[in-house]
Amino acid sequence: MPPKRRRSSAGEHIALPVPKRVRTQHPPDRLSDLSDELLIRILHNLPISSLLQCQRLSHRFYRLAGDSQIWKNLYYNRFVLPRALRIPGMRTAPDEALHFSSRRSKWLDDNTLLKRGEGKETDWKRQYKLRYNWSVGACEVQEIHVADRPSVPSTLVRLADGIVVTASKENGLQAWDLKGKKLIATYVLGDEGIPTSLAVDEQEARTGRLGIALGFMDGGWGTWELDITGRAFKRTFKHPASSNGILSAVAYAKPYILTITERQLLSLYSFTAAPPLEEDEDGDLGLAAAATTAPIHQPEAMPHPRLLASLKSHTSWPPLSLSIRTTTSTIIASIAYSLPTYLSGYTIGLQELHLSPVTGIVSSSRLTSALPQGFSSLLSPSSPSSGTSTPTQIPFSNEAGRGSRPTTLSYSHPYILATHPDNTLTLYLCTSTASSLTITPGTKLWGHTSSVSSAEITPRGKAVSSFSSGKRGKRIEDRSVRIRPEPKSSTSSKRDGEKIGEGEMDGGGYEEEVEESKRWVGFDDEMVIVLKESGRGTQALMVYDFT
Amino acid sequence: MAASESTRITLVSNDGAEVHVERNVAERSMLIKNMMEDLGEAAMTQSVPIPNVNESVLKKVIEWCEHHKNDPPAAADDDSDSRKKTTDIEEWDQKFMQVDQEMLFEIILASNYLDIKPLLDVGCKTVANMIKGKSPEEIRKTFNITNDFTPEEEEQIRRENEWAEDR
Repeated sequence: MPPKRRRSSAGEHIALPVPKRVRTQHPPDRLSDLSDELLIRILHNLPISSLLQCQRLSHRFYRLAGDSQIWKNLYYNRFVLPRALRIPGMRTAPDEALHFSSRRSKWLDDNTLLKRGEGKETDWKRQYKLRYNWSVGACEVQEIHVADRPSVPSTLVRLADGIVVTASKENGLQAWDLKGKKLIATYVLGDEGIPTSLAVDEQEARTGRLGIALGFMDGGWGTWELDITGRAFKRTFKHPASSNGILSAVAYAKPYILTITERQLLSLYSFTAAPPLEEDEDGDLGLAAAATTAPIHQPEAMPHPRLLASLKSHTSWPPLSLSIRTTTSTIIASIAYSLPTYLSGYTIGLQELHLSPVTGIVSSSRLTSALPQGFSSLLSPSSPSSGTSTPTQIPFSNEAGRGSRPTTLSYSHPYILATHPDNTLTLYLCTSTASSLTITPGTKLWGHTSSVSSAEITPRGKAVSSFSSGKRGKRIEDRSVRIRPEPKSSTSSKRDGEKIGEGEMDGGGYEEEVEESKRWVGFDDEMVIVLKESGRGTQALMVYDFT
Repeated sequence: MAASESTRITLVSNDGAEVHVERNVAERSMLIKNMMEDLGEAAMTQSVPIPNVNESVLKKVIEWCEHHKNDPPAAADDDSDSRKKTTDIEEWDQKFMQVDQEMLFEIILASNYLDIKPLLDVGCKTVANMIKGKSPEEIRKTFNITNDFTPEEEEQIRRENEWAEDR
């Protein structure tokens, strides 16, 4: 065959008709004949709405159009990339660098979704839907009835791992399952006292257990363990009443307990044995087991926690927020508090106590505050287990406008979120390294129409606030749960603050008119919980489910 | 490249037809390119069998390769990278893809087999454009897809996916 002839025919083939084939009675479904791989390639080109339509075609398309890889890509483009582009360092990078990639570094704080353990595949379609619902404020609202009568003081609520823990004098300690919307366990407090503070330790949540610490009006405190599957609370420790007064806040991260009284006496306890022995898993379990066998009314029989440190502060004012976090080398107990300054009202202070996990001895204490002029930290380390240290603050002139006293404070490292009576929130970012502790100047978040009653923030930077607004004449309150898109976490903390400040308000909100007032707000990745009290005094948990 | 420009090789389709093509055009196909490298000099004298593609489709594919022979080589990275919007099919390609469904899917299969990624993308985007904006029933009709859901099942999926319907 002479090549020349062939060549010309190849070149002029365009116009040639394709040879016809005999068609069968049933027209062939050529699309479904393609391999899964090719179909997914095609589906990759479709927008969300078409993907969802394709799921309705057939069983096979249902599976393929719900493919996690497709949704992961969509998730990245919709929720991760836009934020990545706003980080100055990344914008200058060559375009290619930001295209979809499974590389963890490009997922910012969403990388938690990538590094799920084996066997726990992330359902990206579900994640996308969840995130989408958050962004538009779409959620299902349900109410869990808690009590018929109001509690004084009001019921304490915490949310952890899909479980809501409530505590009040009248109803004792209770745990509610959010998925099932029902009560799973109750522990009657009886004459134990009036609970004034509550903390939940999630470290063992994976094994179906939550640690719970309650602080009481009389200065006593106790710990419980909630067995989620066994639906029971187990008393693990009771600390007797003390003369130091009302415990206004507690933080619990087994085996450590941090408490603070209304008079700002901060105490840190450890359940570990006194000699510098490393606490391991078995030791923990042993402690819990011992606790269950011990009669409730003889708490003296239990292993006593050691008081590791006690501090009295004269400059910290409520509201304050306690937290304990553990790293491989240190236990960091911190207290975030509002701090009066001479010239400009209030700002936020943060004090950290560093402890060695091996010896349980306080190795250093440092504090910082969110004053603008780079009032940098690292005051001289105080002596281990010191009795009383009085932090002294140097007042700095602050720009006007900031500094009304916060009404609530939520600290979840590295973020501190304060609510103010002037309808604003202030977000601070703290940077804690081995050598320094700093807080960025606060960044105002606007957008609430009235006083913010409560706000919570997670370590990943997602914040939820609830606020009410009075309408003329009537006592109708308009409550909103506003969802703010997450401030991004990058190394450049200061820039971050500014960017958050530009008010990333593209997130939607959920709004609803209710007559009740709400007391507390909490949330996790999927749900927001609000404790409300109606005019008649009944209490209920409002569950806003975004799945 | 310059040296091989005039070099011609012979491809043989699965229905026995010989197709002569410039080597650099044929090497838009990664499969052929790799084969050429493996065969070395022998490739110049032997014909190369393409067992999965028939003559008409092979010619159509080569027509595309001819037109795109001077395109910059695609970055050889992770294939989900840098996909453009569906609507971004260049005009010549759109026209090229105005064929019946049978040929369209044959081109997709051939470009997948021959490993011509840009052509595969054009094919996939063309099919995606045929799906876009259609109701499930219209999509089924377009491609003769059999609905194996019960009405209840389909309704359940519809409800499950309601969250984004208004977009």
